[in-house]
Order: sequence, then structure tokens, then C-alpha cells
Amino acid sequence: MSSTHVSADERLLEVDGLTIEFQTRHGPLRAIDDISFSIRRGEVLGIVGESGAGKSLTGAALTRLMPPGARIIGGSVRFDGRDITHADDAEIRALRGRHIATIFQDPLTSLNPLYTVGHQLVETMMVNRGLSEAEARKEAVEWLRRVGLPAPEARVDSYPHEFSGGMRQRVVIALALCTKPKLVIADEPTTALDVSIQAQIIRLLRRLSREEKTAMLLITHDMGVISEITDRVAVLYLGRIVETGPTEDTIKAPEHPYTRGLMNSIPRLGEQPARLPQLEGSMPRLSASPWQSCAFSPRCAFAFDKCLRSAPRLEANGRTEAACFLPREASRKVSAVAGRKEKDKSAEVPPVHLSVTGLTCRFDIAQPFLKSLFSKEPAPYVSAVEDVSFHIRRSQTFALVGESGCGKSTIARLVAGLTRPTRGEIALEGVPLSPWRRTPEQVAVMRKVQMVFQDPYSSLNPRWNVGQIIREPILVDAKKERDAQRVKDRVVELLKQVGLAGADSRRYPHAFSGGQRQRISIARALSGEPGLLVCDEPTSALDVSVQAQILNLMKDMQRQHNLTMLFISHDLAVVNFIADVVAVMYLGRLCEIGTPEVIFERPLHPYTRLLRDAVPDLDKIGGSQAAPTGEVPSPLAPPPGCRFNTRCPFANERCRTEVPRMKEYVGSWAACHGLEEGRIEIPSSKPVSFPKPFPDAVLTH
Amino acid sequence: MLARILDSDAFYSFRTQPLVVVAALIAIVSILAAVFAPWVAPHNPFDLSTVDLMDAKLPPAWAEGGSWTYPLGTDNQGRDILSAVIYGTRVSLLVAILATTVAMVIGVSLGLLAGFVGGRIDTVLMRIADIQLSFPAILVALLIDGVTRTILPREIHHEIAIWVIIMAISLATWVQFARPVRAQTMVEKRKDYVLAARLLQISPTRILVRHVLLNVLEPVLVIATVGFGLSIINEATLSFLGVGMPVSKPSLGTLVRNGNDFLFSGAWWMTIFPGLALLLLVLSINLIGDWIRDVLNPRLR
Repeated sequence: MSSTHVSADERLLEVDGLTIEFQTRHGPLRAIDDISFSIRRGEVLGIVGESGAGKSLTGAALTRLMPPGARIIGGSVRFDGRDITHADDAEIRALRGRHIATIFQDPLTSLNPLYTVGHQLVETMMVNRGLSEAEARKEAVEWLRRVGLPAPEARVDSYPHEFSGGMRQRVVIALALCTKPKLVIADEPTTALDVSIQAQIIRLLRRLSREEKTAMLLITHDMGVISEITDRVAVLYLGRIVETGPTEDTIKAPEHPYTRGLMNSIPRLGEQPARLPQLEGSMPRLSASPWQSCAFSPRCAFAFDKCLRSAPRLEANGRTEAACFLPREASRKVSAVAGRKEKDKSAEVPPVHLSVTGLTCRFDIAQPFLKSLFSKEPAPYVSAVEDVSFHIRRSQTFALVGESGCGKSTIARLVAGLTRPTRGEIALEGVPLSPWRRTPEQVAVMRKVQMVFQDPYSSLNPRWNVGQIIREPILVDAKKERDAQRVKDRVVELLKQVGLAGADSRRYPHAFSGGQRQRISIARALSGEPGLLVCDEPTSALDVSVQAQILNLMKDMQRQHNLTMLFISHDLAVVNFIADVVAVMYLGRLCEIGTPEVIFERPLHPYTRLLRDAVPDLDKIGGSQAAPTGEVPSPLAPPPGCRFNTRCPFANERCRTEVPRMKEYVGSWAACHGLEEGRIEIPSSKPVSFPKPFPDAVLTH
Repeated sequence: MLARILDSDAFYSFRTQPLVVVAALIAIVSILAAVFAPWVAPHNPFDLSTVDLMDAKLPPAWAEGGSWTYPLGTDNQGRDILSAVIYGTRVSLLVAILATTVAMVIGVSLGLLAGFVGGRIDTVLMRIADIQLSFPAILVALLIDGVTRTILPREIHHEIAIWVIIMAISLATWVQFARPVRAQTMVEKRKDYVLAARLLQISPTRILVRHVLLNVLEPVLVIATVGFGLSIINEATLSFLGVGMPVSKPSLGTLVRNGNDFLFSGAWWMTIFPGLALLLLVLSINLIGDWIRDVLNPRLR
């Protein structure tokens, strides 16, 4: 990119034609192909792309922290007016930390567990800025205050393990910024964090980079983060920049078919399409990259002969630049497929499929043997799920949302019979399930519960081929067909339903990409002819464009097979797209149940409101909402009364002592004293009826 | 098929490490010679009719007084050292293979059980393993040897010596298999594919055998290779101490022990050559074990 209107001394970092190859025994693999970008002083540039696009490698190349085998074979990197492409190790080391700081994804491993955070800050400042120990210590406390650590004077002598993940990431940010670097490289700084913490960290980074006038290179896969914090963005695909420009233009009016497809495939809170517009296929491996042609051409709906013959270069059009041969007007035609979710107008309420009453699950904490023998106090436990009741009606998708540790995955496991409840009852199709001895009837009912898991890499047995994996649920049921040819036909049919080829049944899981594995997982679940499909974060390990494919597939399969689904997710937009009913969980308890329209358009419970506001909004560039505050308390010692009271702006004495009960409001049910007493304003709306989402017994006792 | 093997990463890493290639060659030559000993060895050292006491203590062929009839010289009874080494390798390898197999079967089964069932069974099995680890292999072997010696008449004891030593070695080494298998089982049983199988209400035994077992075999392969080398050493140690293979059916260890008596009378070849054979064999097996570990470990790829 040649930003001609910028004078040379304004540019802090200039990357020109950078090319990086991995040396392998099959010859060199080009991971970064001739990319150019620049960052002005104080500017935030976002690099966005799917996994494997080369984003992290680009960041690592600037400070020469590339993985072994990677080599810069062309192009130049100029930092602060100096060519550092061929700088020796000593020069690079002098830049790292002092002038170019890095923030990594995992706050767990970026801090040294053996030293206090204060020590690490003091040492960094003493080495890089030549401060005396007393000065550095004073400033360390100041930095901890600036990154929003409560009681910094007391916490400065704490060790990293004494902080939560979000707090640790704040310390990492303090550590990166305390040397007053000119450039910060932030590699997925919020990916390991929960939505509400992510919102806080994004706002912190934005504020500090403005205050310190530090330039930032933000690497992420999340368009929401990009839209909230960056000034300009570069979209990376298979080691090439396909589009770059000011964030607002690029996000609102993407030029390149890839960016456009990517933006369209992101589910959004404001809309509920029947299907997500999807990009076909997935990004190929580097070894299968089409070098001589446009890298995106195999997936592009508009590719014509020129795209296959040569690789396009970035060309300016208005304020953005895109690498595409298509005339701009042609690619614009790919607008989001309209059409709202077709609503079931029939007033008939489907029968209850799964009913959960007073479900409680506690995990005992292991105690020293002697202590457990003689101690009079009850053993401590983690309260994972506490007194949860809900119904799932036949052929509906019931979604559980909440932050990590709220107990949503535990509920999935309890319903699937993989974990035993401490108390409470689960009834499937009217049959109460016993956690211990199972009657043949119960076993038959339990077989009708199948799961789709989060991690596509551990959910398939690596030693079995796809045919064996999908066949197993059919063969296990003695009553079903065992005729080999029919079983084979059924496997092929299932593979075709989930969008794979029949011939794939002889291949092993390692030959498939994450999205394809998730399809195999779905095929396996379907081959057991389930009534209830439990999906535990089925798309959170996938790239956005693949996520859209899988979500569409799940919706199709649900309709085709008339499935009831329990869908667990932390992603509100995904839930909004797929769910008929949404339940919000916080620290083991349900806060609110309602239709997605009600929950996301006018949430009642203060926690639902907080979650709703924490979601980065693609339509609000630069982000405007106030950040949610506070962190989730430990489930080891959940606060008494309403568990949300420690973070709730409306909490009073009653909230701190008495557990609120579910109560019906317009279109949803919520458990909140504030709403009940009228202390919290209930947004007015037209009356919507929402059938009671849990068994009768819950309201009477 | 062959083309695929030749193109695989494993073969590439094999091909590019000359040390591993040499080790594999030595191991293959040793194994082939041991298997086909009656056809490969120039003499049959146990056929008394061919042994001539007049040929006793002949030095190797290239030394003064040596002859090419006995390339590596002869022992104190006139037996060919080269042939004895080949036959001794045969015995050593046989003992090591059987001992490793028995240890592997015990260790893998108990490790799977402990890791999969957990709880009290796990605690009991692992404490037994701890106790087992605190007894050196030699002590266990001496114990079993002592017991069998007192119970059984001398002739029978010689007959079953090989089984005694196999028992002793496998009892001492099964823990090497049990611990890693238990750890790996605990990792695998929490993986989603095992949960998916549990959802089908399949019996735990079937899950253990059909799903988990296959996925814990990779580390077992590495331990088995290294354990195989260790078993050869263990066997040689026991035989050297006189509680292993009897002189009538000598292993490499027995030969070293035998020759040791004549080391200071100048007949160095009687102990050096069996010792050298032992060293090369174990070294190459360990090198191959290291290579397998590197190939299977994705972090080192």
C-alpha cells in the first residue's frame, strides 16, 4: 500500500513487499507473499484474517520472533526511519520491549509465575528506561492503576496466579506499555477472554493507545474487535493482503468478494435471517495455495479466466484498496441475502420434549484425607449448577448463553447423562432419567440424545476412519439394521447430507479441516437418529466463514430430522440466529428465559443487559457504549442472594440476601428483585405471549 | 504403498539421520544372525563332538597363533567365540522379547484399568507400582531364583531358568508401561470421542478396548523399544551375576561372565567380543527407540 499523502516522517512502520517462506523438505512454502502496509505514529492498524492466513507470522516477523524454519526472503521493514530488515540480533533485541512491545493472546503464559507483577514491571522499566528502583516501583503502581487494577498499592506484590485471566491481561498490557514503546503489537489480545472482559480490555487498549499516542498493530480474527478499536484495517487471505482501507469504509462497504462474504457471514444481533449468506469451502492449506492465480479464486463466486491466470495487485478505489480484477459494480451485487426467519404462526404450543426440574450439580473439592475425616465443617464444593429448571419443547432450539464458568456446559453434560446431578430431575419424553441404574427403557431414551462437541480435533477417534465413526451408532443398536450394504448406504447418505462425499468414508479424521470434522461430528450424531441434539459450543473453534456453513447446516438438519436442540454458546449473535428460545445463565443460575427477539432487543435482567452491551457492534465503528464493569466471582464462594448482586448497579439489601424467583414479564421470564419491585425500568413493548418455559412444580414450591 | 512409505515424514527423518540408519542395520544383522544361528554360525558350540580341548584359548584370527577356523578365537573349552556370540545373541533376544511382551501385557492392562476406572482401584494399583519400583530388578530376580532353586531339583531348575529370568525381568519392568499408559488413558477418557461413545450407552469395556486402547499405543511403542534394550541389559546383568542363564545355554551375559575369569590371564577375547556385541545391540536399539519417540512426538516434528 502506498499512502502517498503521508509524509515519510509521519510513518512509524513501513513494510514493503515482505515475503516469508517456510523451508520444508518438499521445498519452500510461501506463508507471506509480498505484503506491504504502513502504520503512522499513534495509529491503530488491524490485521484480520482466518486462522492460517499468516496474521501472527506477520506480527512476529517485525520483531524477528518467527517460528523455526521461517525465513524472510524478500521485502523490507522500516521502523522509525531505519531499515531493520537485515538488522542483527543485538539491534533487534534493542528494539524489542523498548520500542516495539508485544501483547500475546494467552495471559497465563505471558507472565513469569515465579516473580511478583511488581518485580516484573520494575525490572522492565529499569532495564529499558534506566529508572532507579524506587522510581520504577512508584511508576509500576501508577501503571497498575492506569490499567484498572483495583488497589494497586496492595496488588503490586502479588504473584500472577493470584489474578484472574482478565486482570492478568491488564498486567500484561501494563508491562507492554510501561516502557513507552512507539509500537505495540497485540496478537489476539482478547481471544482467550469472556465477552464482558473482552469489552473492558478493548476499551482499555483504545484509551491507553490514545493517551500514550502509541501506534498499535492489532492482530485478530474478530471483526467486532476490529471495528471497535482500529483506525485502518488490512484483510489477510492466505498470506496476501486482499483489501485494506479505513476501518469504517472496509467494514461498511467491503470491496473484495472475500471481505464481503466474510462480513455477510457474521451473524448479527439486530437481524434474524433464515440462513446466513455463506462463503463456500475453507481457506486451503499453504501447500495447496494457488500461487499463480488469485488466492481466493477457488472459493470466489465471480472468478473468471483472468483470476485464474494471474494474481491481482492492490488497487485503490476511493479510500480503500482491494486486490481483485472484478469491476467494482459486479462484486457489489453480492449483498446479504435478505429474508427474515420464518415465524411459526401457529398458536399451537409443541409438547415438552425435555424437562429439567431443580437441577443442581456440585463438585466436591478434594480434601486432605485426615482433614476430611475429622473436620466438622461440610466439605467445600464448587456450585456449578444451582436449582435450574426449564423445558425444551419438541422441534425447538433452546439456547443457553453465559460466560465461561456459568455452568452451561455442565448442563449439557447433565442432560446427556455424562455427569451425575447432585439433586434435581431430568425427564426425557416423559421418562425420568436415573443417574444410577438404568432400565432398558431409560437406555433406549438416552440413546436418542446425541451431542456435537466444541473441539473438532478431539471429538473424532483419530484411529478410526470416517465410515467406522459414523457407522458406530447404527451398529450399537441391536434392533436396527445390520445388513452391511444398507449400513454402508446409510453412511454415504449421511455424508452427503452434511455436505461431504461418499468416498470420504475411507479417510481418517486428520485428513479433514476443522469445519469438515464438525460436519463428520454432526453426521455421527445424526446416524443415531436422535430426538434431542445437544450442541456444546459447536462453532466456537471455527473460523467465521466456516461457522456460517455449520450454522446453516445445523438449521437444515434440524428441520429435516425434526430435531429438538439444546444449543450451548457464549456467542450472543450465533444464539440469536439459531435459537427459538434463549436462556441466560450466570454463575450456575438462570437469569432470564425468552425468545431471542425479547432477550436481545429489549433485555430485562441487568445481566442480560450487560451481556448485550458487551458484544462488539459491527455497525458502531469506534465503539460507544460504556464498558461493563467487574468480573465473575468464584463459583467456590458464590455471593448469597442474587448471584449477580456484586456486579449489578441496581442491587439492594434484598438482592444480597434473598434468591430471586422466576417471574413472568412481557414476552420473557426473569429472576430479579429489581424488576419485580419495579425498581428497574421495564421497556414497554407490544404484548407477546411466551409459554411458560419450565415445569409447573417450579412455581409452586 | 511402498511409495507412500518412502515419501512419509517418518522415512524422511530416518533417511536423514545416518546414525539411526547404522543402528537399524546393526539391529537387523543381529536379529537375522540370531534367528538363523544354526545356518549362520561357523560351528555349533554346543555339539561336544566337534569341540576339541586342544583348540582351547586360541586368540582371534589376526592375532599371533590365531586361525581363521575360529575368527574371534575360542574359549577355555575350545568353543568358537563367534558362534557362541551368535547363539548367545539368540538367547538374549529371546529372553528380552518375551520379558518385554509379558511386561507390556501386564503394564498396559493395569495402566488402562487404573486410568479408566480411577478411584480406589487406581490408588491400589499405583501403590503396588510404587512398591514394585522400590525393588531393583536384580533383587526380584535373586528372590525368584532363590525360591525356585530351593523348591526345584537342579536339573529342572536349569530347564526353567529361562522362564524364571523372563518372570523376574517382566515383574521388574511392567511399571514402566503402566504409568505412562495410565496417564495417557486419563487424558483420552476425557476426550470428546470417548464421551460420544458413552452417549451410545456402550459398555465401558468396549469403550476401553475399541476406543481408548488404540490411542494409548503410541507411547507404548516407544517404551517397548527402549524397554527391550533395558531387558537385554537386565538379562545380561543377571546372567553375569550367575542367577540368569546357565552355562549350558549361555546368553551374552553368561559369556561375559565366563570370559571374565580369564581376562587377567591374557585371554581378553573371551569377554571383550560378547561384551562388544551386547553394547552394539543395546546401543542400536536405544537409538531406534529415540528415533521412534521423535517421529511420534508432534512437538518435536
